[in-house]
Amino acid sequence: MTAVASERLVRDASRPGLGAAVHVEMAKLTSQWSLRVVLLLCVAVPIAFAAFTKSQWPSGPSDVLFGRWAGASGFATSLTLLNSANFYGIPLLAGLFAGDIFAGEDRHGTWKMILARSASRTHICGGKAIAATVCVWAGFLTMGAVSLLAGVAIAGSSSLVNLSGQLVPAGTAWALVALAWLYSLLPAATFIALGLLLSIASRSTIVGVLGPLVVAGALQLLEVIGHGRIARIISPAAPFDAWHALFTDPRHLGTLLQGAITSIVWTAIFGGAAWYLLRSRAFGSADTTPRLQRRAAARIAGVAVVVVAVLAGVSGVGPTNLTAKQLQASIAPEFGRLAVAHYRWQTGSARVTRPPMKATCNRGAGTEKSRGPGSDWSCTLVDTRVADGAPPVALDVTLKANGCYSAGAGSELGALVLTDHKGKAFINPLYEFDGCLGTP
Amino acid sequence: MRPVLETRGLVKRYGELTAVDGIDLSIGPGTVCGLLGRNGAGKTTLLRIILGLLASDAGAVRLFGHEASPHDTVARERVAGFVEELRFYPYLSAVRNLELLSRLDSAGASVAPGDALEMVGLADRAREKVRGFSTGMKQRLGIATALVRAPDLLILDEPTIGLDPTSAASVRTLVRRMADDGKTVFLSSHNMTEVAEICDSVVIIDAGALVWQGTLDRLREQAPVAAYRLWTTDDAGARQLGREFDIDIDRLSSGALLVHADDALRNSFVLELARQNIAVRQLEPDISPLESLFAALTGDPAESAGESESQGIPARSEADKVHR
Repeated sequence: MTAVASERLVRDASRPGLGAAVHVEMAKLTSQWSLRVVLLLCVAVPIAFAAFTKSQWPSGPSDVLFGRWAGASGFATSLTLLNSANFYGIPLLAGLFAGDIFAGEDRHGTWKMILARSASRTHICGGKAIAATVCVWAGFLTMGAVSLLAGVAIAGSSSLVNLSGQLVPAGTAWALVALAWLYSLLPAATFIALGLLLSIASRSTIVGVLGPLVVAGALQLLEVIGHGRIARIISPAAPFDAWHALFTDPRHLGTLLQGAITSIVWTAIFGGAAWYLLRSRAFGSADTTPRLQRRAAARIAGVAVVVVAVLAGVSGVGPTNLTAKQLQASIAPEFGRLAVAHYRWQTGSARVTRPPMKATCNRGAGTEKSRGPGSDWSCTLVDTRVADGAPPVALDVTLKANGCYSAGAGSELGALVLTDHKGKAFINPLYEFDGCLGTP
Repeated sequence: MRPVLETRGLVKRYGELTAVDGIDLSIGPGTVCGLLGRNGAGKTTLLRIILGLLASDAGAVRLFGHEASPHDTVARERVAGFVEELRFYPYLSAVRNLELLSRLDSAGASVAPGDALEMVGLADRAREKVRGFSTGMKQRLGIATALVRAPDLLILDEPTIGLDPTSAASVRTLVRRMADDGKTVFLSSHNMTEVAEICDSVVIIDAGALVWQGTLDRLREQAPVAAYRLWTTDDAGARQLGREFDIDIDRLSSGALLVHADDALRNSFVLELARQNIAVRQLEPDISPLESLFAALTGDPAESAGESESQGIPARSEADKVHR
């Protein structure tokens, strides 16, 4: 052994690895009372939500998928909350746990302490990323589990009406709702990585915490106008809707796969950029001055504006699934299935077959020209059986950019609440209903 | 003996400013080396580069004979220390801060957090949140965070700043004891008395460049004659006698006489004053030889006077200001 090699560089025992960094970061996160409160809220909010929706029955948050069933079925309660948890809860949790995890070191001035230890910057970055992910995922899954349990306990375990008008029995519903929450961990990872990136790039807690929320808001806004398939594929927020595919018939597994790929790619981009920035950062004496933080925030805002502008630019580019043909193909069988459910609930008789419905949809223009999201769609549904005698039904339809729609004929098809053959009240499934085409 | 710390041609620029300008230094094992320089001389930047927090634009750092590139935590395995203001996680206790930081160290030779706190006199405050700690307590906790790594090279940036005299003395004792145990300590300081008390060698930098390096004894040899402030019952007589002794005496704006003389000449002068019935009311050192040399080596004293005096280094004597 050479003299140089024999010189002791590393102590005999092992160097700290990723596990040590994760342990340290977890200990720091869980020691902060504010973050403990957040985790407690992840338990309290779903319980309060389940109790509230039950108290509001039969009216519910009908502008959200499954919202109109939230007080009638615990599965719907959980899925209603999942909509909000995806678009508001995840960015908020990501901001709170990931957005401050790097910037917090700048705020406390502790970078110099931890970087002078034996752990490498890569391990420290990895430890922070994993700890933030564990906390966000734990909070999110806690919300999911509590909402499902509290929903079933408070609203009951009645069958779930899916987005194709079918009744999903409780056994299957448990699994599908759990899968929906689990699937959303993927887009959650994207926003965690975004929080990490904003945190290290801005060195500012405010930017790190609020950044994911602002980005999610901007993306949501784009979702309202963007119906092009390209925007649906590349938007980091689009995978938040992918779980809808679990509740359609047939299940659009391609949508789930597309959402997963989009989430993984964005997570890798954001996470890789965060790692690169930490690795190349020089910890000089003026690295956290307010002037520097302002400059970093301005740079981030500039990049964000460019990204949003690009997304806005491509939002309408490419083919779209939001066509009259797609809507007709989806809404007709769904209406037929809901009509069956309506009949069964009202009469208690199972001996009924789905009426063959035909739909004609448009937005004022002809069927061929009608496309895109909007609340000005209308569909006329006709029972094609000969001599049935049932008059055509005209539905007002709102088609959203994410491919989901709500349709209703108001009291033309009966009151909101009806009574079954045993005298028990139930929600008229034809009064207003939701469905999804399956996008992109 | 192989140096513990070496730098060769180290350069760090911030735009137009060259903070570290080609520094070559070498520190041997088992010594305490003081890093001196005026504010903004580049001391902290140099320490940051050595600790791996900052990459140099040119040059190299060698630790224990091995080149240490920036961010290389393996090469810095036996190094611990801190730069500038010490900050901790305020929502954690002192011992918890130490426990978590030590989790990021390699296992093996290390000091238990409790023992490290004991060494810096914080054992009784171990369970308290750092949020309520004073600057001095944080300074001691910072030293404890370095000690838990059981380093062979300890780098400290003004370790006694903010400490009360008793705590400062105990830190100095601790540093000296580490050197006696074979460890090497490289510390920056503005306190010349502290440097004279605990350091074996000194590195002086000015405007990013190394202007002097050597043992403290050699520094003392090169230091100019000491100056003393003198108050007598007959200043005119004292100045007349000074001329006979060939002693340089100036009058300060405060009314005191500034006497430039080595120890032997000063003793004879004072005895002669007494013989001529000129009473010595007060005699005190105006500036130490080390301070004189430091001021001479680090350029224009007027520029640093205001800030240096508050840190313990008078840039130049009052006489210099009066007579220039």
